[in-house]
Amino acid sequence: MAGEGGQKTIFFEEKYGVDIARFRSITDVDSFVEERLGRKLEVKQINSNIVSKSGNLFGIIKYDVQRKFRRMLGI
Amino acid sequence: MSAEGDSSDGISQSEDRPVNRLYEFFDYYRSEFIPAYADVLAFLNKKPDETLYEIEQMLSHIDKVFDPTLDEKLRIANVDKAIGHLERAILDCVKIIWIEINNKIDLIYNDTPRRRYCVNMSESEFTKKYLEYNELLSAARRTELESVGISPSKSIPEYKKAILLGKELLESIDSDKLNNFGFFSRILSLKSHAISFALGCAASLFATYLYARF
Repeated sequence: MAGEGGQKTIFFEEKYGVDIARFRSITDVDSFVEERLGRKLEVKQINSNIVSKSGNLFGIIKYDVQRKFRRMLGI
Repeated sequence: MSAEGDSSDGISQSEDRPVNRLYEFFDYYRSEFIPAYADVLAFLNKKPDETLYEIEQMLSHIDKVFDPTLDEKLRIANVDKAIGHLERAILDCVKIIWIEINNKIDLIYNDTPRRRYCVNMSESEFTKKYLEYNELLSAARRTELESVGISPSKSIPEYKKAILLGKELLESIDSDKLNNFGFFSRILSLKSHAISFALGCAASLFATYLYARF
């Protein structure tokens, strides 16, 4: 592991005026950004051959389980 | 977790070597991955799918560390694989920011009038920094390709250095000027069309006059 030593971010701390050391997991980051945005975070598909697909052959399907479930039950 | 023993950070350390190696994994996760992930979110306001793929892979390897049917060697190998995915996840975060910054900067750089009038630095300085930025990215990409399968994270500091310069270029783009530029360029275009039309009319009137006279 070639750690750099520094913990500082390039955009995050400047944009939100917080210390990244406060954030210990992706859940911490997600909920903080969601709170600032006032909405749930969506997934962005990155279409580039520069970024690895980590061996994944399958794409992601956007699946709103709650909506489908409600529709099935007719509520 | 079957973690027992003492540790300076208050978390019990284990006698189990694979689990101890996992502590290193999570140290790296917190110190390097979280800042990189936070940066992508701050930039995109969305979660990139590539990072989620890597996290999925990491979890499947971490799961094997706690599989009692596997021997120690295999369990340690799985921690190493999880670390590999973590390194790639950080690299992906950094590269995603690069791609997004590039898309924005290229729009300005490839448009001469906008490059000239909508940037808060001289055109020559902007061009010089843009070329330097591209050189840094090429060097980072070279390092990345040279270290494939050895150490995916080797190129991360180089990418970060390039991104910092990209950020400087991005911040030099004046969004107010950019918005006004669109409006004024339309007015200028209309003006030049109106002048051409007026000149055309005048020329045809003059030609008609000359024809009638002679």
